[in-house]
Amino acid sequence: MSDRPRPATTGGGTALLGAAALVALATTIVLGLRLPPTVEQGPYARLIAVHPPLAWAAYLAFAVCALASVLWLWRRTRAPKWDRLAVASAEVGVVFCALTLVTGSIWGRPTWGVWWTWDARLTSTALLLALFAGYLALRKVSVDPETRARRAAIAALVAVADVPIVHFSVDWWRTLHQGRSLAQITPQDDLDGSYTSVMLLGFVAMTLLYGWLVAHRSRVEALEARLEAEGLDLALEERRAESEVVEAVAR
Amino acid sequence: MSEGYVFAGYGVTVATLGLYALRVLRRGRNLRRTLDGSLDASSRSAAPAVHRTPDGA
Repeated sequence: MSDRPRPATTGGGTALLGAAALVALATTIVLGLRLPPTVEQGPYARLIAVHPPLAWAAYLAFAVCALASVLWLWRRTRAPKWDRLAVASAEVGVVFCALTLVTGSIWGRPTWGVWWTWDARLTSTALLLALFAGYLALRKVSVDPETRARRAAIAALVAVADVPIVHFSVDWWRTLHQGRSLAQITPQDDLDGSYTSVMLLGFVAMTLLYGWLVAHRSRVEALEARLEAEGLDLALEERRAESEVVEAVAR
Repeated sequence: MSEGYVFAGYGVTVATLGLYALRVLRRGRNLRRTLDGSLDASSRSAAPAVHRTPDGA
């Protein structure tokens, strides 16, 4: 067996984070499904416990991807770990962003009467998903790791510019989508207290889950990089052995 | 039916996140196994032949 350290996909801190995420998510679901129906939206308002927190997790994931990309692009801080964090965060963000669109569509059907409308919030969110799906596709292009990381980092910085557009779209344009959920939490809010607390718990749950997923996904990237390097080492060893045999035969 | 949309929203969230988490965990486990196998193979091939026992241990 080799004495070289191998990156694991689990650790004490990660396991604790996973357990906390699971408890928070389970509590959010139980409490969210038991929220009282509202006058305006009836039982559909219960989706507030998952839909805005999913959107928040997507924002967070894409912001972390952009930050990691900056750290990779900046020569002083350039390290492979930032590229791994960027791709891990982008992939997790794409999952959260897709779920934001799906849960929003499920909420929109009974409240607006349509599954989809070309509203500014919905359209900019769909664009955000497409941009980061493109970012992941760009990473599949077969080039050397450094070129791939540089191209991806620049693409992430372009894509992340859509996040503030998504967030403020409900203020900048007249939209069918309701206003920002967090903006409704004020002393004079019209949001029931139980709704506010369950939604905030949802934000905590999705943040913890994001952290746990990114920790695992980053380590998967590290393992893939290690495997790629090991594969190259093995191939080089085989080549050397082959050339030694050829030389011995020639002599 | 009205409750159906709510359950669908929660259901799709839990199912998707659960499946994605399992996929990431499985990918990590498989990579680790592959890596362990390739490292063991390379250390065996690098070892002198005189140290090997007939059963390959």
